[in-house]
Amino acid sequence: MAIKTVLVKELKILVRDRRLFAIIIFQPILLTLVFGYAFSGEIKNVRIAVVDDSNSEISNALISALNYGESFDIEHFLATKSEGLELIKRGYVDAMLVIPKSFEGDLAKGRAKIEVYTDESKSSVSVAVINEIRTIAHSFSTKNFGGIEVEQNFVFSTKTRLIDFVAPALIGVVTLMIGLILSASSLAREKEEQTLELSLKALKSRDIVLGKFFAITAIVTFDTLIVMFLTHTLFGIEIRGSVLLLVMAQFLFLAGSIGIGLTISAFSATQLQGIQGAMLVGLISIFLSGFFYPLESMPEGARIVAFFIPLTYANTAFREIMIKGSGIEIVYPQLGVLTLYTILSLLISTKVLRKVVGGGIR
Amino acid sequence: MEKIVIENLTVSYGKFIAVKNLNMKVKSGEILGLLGPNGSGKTTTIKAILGFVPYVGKVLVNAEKIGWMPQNAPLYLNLTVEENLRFFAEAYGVKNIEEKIEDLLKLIELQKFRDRLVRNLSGGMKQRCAFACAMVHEPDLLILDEPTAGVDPKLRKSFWEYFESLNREGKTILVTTHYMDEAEKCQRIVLMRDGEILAEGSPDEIKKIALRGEIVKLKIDHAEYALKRLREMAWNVSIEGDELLILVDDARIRIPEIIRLLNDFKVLKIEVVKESLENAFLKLIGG
Repeated sequence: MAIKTVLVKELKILVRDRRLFAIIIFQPILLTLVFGYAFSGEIKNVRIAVVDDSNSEISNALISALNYGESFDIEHFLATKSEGLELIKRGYVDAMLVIPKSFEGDLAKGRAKIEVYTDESKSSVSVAVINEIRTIAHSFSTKNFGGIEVEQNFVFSTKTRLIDFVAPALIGVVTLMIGLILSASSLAREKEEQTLELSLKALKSRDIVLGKFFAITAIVTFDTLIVMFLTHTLFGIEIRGSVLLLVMAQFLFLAGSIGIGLTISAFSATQLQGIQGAMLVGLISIFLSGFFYPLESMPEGARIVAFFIPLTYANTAFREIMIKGSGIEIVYPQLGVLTLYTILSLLISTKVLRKVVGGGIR
Repeated sequence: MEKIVIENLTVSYGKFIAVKNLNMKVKSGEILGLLGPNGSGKTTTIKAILGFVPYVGKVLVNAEKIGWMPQNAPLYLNLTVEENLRFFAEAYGVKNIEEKIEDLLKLIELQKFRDRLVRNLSGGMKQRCAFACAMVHEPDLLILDEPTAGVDPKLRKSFWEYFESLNREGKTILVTTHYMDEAEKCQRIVLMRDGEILAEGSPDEIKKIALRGEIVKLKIDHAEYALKRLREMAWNVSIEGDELLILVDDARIRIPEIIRLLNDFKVLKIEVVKESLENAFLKLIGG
């Protein structure tokens, strides 16, 4: 009850504070759009490889039809399917088209079949390629009085698009920034407006902190949904792994970040100081965490620093769960580090906060 | 029965000692005025009573519920008047919240402004809202820190009407103020300076302390002769025109005595000089 009272009050205040409300709404949208478009390629000039086992006039005609528009660049003519699979896995081509030996004869009988292989992690490319090939195949078969069935196959590759790398990290970044800013400013604002002692007289400090915690969690969840919605609709990002596991990882990271935010607020006299402190810690974390480049491609020194940034682990966990569909058996080291981070930061913040809120009588 | 007992209270902020070895009591059912210049330790004493500052010494509070109105009327600026009241009512676990909110809005005459954000209230309205928030859980002890600072005279008057009617209902009030007309309304005054108590007592007693007695003003014929006679008998007398000013320890006892001594003079007028509390206050603070 007391926690709910604080929660409702916090939400009202946060939503009515124009500065904070702008941050809550626009930060996730801007981050997603800026980084999303910066790191995503257009679905134009998709590189494809072709294996033409039919090697007939009619198959050549189909290939030229594909090559005609701007959509596809046929970069390789290959002898075997396995060569093409390898090229996809290495990221040299985005898709492979396989025309079987029996294509010419089957087309006349109206049951011709072609196979398309795409990189399964590039879902948006896959969808575009298959649609485009279906359209071309349809008009081609009408012209040639036959029927072509397009069979879609996925290739599981290790190479992923940059957006696949960046999108899950956006959740980490938004969780960190919003979590830090809201928690740092919230307590500092109450200090600045001198309402902290007043509510401490009426409420247990535990209820105040928990009420704020849940209010921030609600808002960060809302922001995460914004990021997920945008990355899904614009860049075709989907959650492959367990949603529960993702929520767990995010909650751990959020709790830790709120702890840091509360610690910052303990040292801030005003709301503005709190926000500035949160921004500083947040930005440093983002730059050092390997948000922009994979850890593997970072220089040695930067990689060592990144190991001490919790965001690094959160982002790795989010990527594993969202993009690769990894389970707890893969991400347990990250979850372990995040748990440790949360425990430490909450311990520190309780200790520091105790000094600020003191022992007010009820 | 005391609501608050403070013994040997010392509060320091680093090297600065804000309150020095303070001993004070707030009796049940009284209005106690805590007076003193800025920085004399009034607010610090209140914070110690509420447990918001670490202190040395003993502070005993015998109240079930304390209503606290801090300085500058802090409220949630982005909540409306009603939302502020509701928040504190819920926080204190008040039972009949709706009824309570209506009663208080009526008391502070802010029904029309219930949906206005506190941010957009005038100073006086804010002060009234803060007072209502302090009253929301029906406290038996009210601690009001400069409740009328920056409030217009009309509202100050109605504030004190609230305080006095609450006091008649049996509520104990500890109030700080810089207004002497308000201090006159307190049953007891504790005057502080530099973290220490300078004087303590009813307003009249404070005045006596300040003057180290009372002044009797005497209008008399042949004032110079009367002056001479009184001085010869070691009275503390001065002359202002045709009036004598006599400093006495207790006017009620000394006036008949003076009249007897000067029975061969024609006494035109005799009165006890009404010293203002403000003058008394300034004398005590300055001395």
